[in-house]
Amino acid sequence: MKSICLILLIFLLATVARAQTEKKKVSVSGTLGMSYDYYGLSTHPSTPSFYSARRPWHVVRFNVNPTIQVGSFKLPIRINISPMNYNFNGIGGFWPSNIPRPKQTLGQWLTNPMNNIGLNPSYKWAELQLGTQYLQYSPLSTGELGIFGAGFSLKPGRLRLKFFHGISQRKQDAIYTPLPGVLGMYRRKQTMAQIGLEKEGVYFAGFNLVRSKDIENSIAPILPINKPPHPDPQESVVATFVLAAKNKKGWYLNTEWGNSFQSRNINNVSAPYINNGSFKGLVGLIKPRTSTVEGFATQTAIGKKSKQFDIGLNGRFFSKGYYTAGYPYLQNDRLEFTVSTRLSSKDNKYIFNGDIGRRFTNWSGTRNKQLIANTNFFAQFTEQFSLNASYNNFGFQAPAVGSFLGMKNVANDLSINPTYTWSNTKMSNLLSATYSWSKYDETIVPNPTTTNNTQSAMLMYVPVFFNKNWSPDFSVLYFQNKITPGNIKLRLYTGSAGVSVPIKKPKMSFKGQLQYTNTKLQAFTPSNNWLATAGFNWPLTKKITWNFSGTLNFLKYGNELVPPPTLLGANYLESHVRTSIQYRLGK
Amino acid sequence: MKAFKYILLSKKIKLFILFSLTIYTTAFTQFLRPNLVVNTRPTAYLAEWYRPQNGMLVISAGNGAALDKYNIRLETELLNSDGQLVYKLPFQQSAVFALSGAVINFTLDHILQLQNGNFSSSALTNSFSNGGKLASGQYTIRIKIWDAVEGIERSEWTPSKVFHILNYQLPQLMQPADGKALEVHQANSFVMFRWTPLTPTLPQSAVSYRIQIWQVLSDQTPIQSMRSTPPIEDRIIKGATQFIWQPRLNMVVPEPAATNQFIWTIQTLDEKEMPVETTDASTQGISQPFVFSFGNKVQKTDTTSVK
Repeated sequence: MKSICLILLIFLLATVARAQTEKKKVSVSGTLGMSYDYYGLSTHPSTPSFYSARRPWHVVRFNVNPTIQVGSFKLPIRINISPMNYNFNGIGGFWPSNIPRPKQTLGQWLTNPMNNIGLNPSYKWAELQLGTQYLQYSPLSTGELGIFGAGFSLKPGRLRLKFFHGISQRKQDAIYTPLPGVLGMYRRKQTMAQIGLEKEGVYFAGFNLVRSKDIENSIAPILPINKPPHPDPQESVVATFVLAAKNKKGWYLNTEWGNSFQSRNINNVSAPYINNGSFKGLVGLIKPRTSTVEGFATQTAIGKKSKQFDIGLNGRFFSKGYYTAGYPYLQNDRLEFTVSTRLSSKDNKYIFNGDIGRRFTNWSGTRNKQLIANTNFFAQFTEQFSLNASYNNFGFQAPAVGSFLGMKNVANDLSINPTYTWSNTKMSNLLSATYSWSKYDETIVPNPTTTNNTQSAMLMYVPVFFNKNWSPDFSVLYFQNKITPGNIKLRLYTGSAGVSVPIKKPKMSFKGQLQYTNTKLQAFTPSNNWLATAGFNWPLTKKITWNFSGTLNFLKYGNELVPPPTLLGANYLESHVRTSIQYRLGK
Repeated sequence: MKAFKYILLSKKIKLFILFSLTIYTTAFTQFLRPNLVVNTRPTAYLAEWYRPQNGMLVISAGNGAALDKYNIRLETELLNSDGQLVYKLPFQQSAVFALSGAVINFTLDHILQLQNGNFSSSALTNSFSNGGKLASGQYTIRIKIWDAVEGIERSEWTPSKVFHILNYQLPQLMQPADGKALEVHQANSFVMFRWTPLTPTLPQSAVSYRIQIWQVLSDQTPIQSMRSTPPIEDRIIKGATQFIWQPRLNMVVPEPAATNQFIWTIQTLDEKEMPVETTDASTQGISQPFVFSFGNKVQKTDTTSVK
């Protein structure tokens, strides 16, 4: 790590010194500013609880994103931070309200995904990457997570060389009581590298290597009796080969092949090393344990694109042991492939898109099968009249396993959307209608089929007055969902009106919307919801802009919350204000 | 004469000692009583059998006599529902355990010793090393105790314990498709979410799906928002694989601090409301998330195409 820091320092000094000797003009661009979110909730009655807050009460965020340029030297700075003591549990932002948030250390604050501090100084083909970076190497290696650390990207000629090392998961000590507690998470370090050759717009071929390891002593030990849900410290390594190429005729090929090793547990006592030759390949980078698994994955896309016609064949396979820490939620043990096409007339007035494919999950066991088919057709019949229609079909089938006798579900969705425009000397008008029909049948053997039918219709009208500067829009919507058996019905009526007004003094643009929804569930009395939103964008000066938006959301329930009788007519009011001020740097 | 008597006595003593040793050894053989307790539904990941929730081996010393550093080895057999051997730990390959005390507990990793045992075929070895899990099905397991020094049996086979392995396949998100742009007027009234069920499905009343939806902040990636901010919708749905969401959000006035982009996922919980196991235990039964947005009318549909 020290050597990396030294390299970075030398690079920075050298490039700055070189930039200074060249006496190039210094330019600064970008933005800086701050934003504030206020959230309020009042419920009536206050007890028993029937609606929970869905945002933090206050959030302040600062953003400083300048780019300093001196000749070929560039220094983009990215600082997006929140000073709030806003700890998180390592997986999602969810933190139980009954557990006080521990105060963050500086290290935790820096590596909190809520904050993002990064520097990317570059000189010609050399770039340093410092701080939090979201680096997408490839779909099978890494790219989803932000990593706090240091690295570089070098692009001399056709050579591509990348390296980065840092913390991809911050630590969180386990909290057991009060329930539900907070998951214990180990600090995870990730090291990644890429080497390849590239001719921009023509081909890229390269290798990726990603290694991640949890620091076992980064948190207080978690006793086996407390697991699950607390996970063990882990280690993984993945190597992939990527090839992407395309030619002037529109043919393209993108393919990647990956091999991974993952140890779900790296504790020497509960997951000792094994030396029986079960693992080969990347074992130089990871010592196999009883908890180690090996995986393989590939994805390939081949096809041709042209003005009137596209065709493509895509496929992906992930073996049951494939895992990469760069995409922690990736679902493995699946195969999927699809054929897609696009056809259009020469004048682009008639366009057809379609794809059909299959997805197999639980590939190594009793396979679940999915059919996925989508079509979309657009036709501009006249200048005034156009039609968009789409049809989607999803089918899912799981075979019988042991006492589970199998299941099947089929979804059919159809949507038709005609649009008509007309105008006279004073105004133009747009009328758009959308009708959607959806049928979703699910059969879990030996139970009878559950049918879930949905219909919705929406009509939208947008007049534009030529001699007035404000423009309204109106829409009405009907929605019905019916589930049988049980005859469970949900019905919505929604009406909304919006307006957009540019104001001359002070010069700003104002927008507002009022929306009313009447919701009826089964035989309960309907609930009524009003949603009012207003806001503006006000350039205070040429460089400073003030944004503001406020939303009120009032919902009065019918009798669906009864009993208890005190909840008859229960209601809540949510208020949400967002405001920000931004200063634009440079000319 | 005295000398003869002494020799005779000496022989008697020797015989007595020999007899006593025989009795003691016989008694000791019956002395070790292994009691194997296995959860009927342990984790499919054999490497995680060190967790006590999966079961225990209790070795008791009868007659109230405590053992003192008595060395044993274990022999283990894991069989499938057809009675075919799946995994075996021969006692010669077992680690040596020193027993001390009247009752000694072992977690099940001690009886498996994956680093020392053998799967019955190379196909099974490969299957295990490629996934780390036992295939779904019914299995039985039994153990026997051996003297580590003399290499003789110190117990009978325990009664075979039956257990079931269920390899769950997490739900695949279906609708809204990944990357889909929803028409804002319609979407602000309702959004239909659908996903495939957990398979094999648990008894219908037992499985729960926790749907979580996050709004992406303007200077964050979707995953970053998912990991660092509270969800704006967090609801547990019993059994059903569909959710109709009424967002009731400002989607009209541009907000500099937030985008019109959302990320959603499903966390699958078992009958104990515990997350179903996933490859990365840190992800806690969370399915691969999808992103959608409110806005224009761009038609994008679910596809298996390579991104």
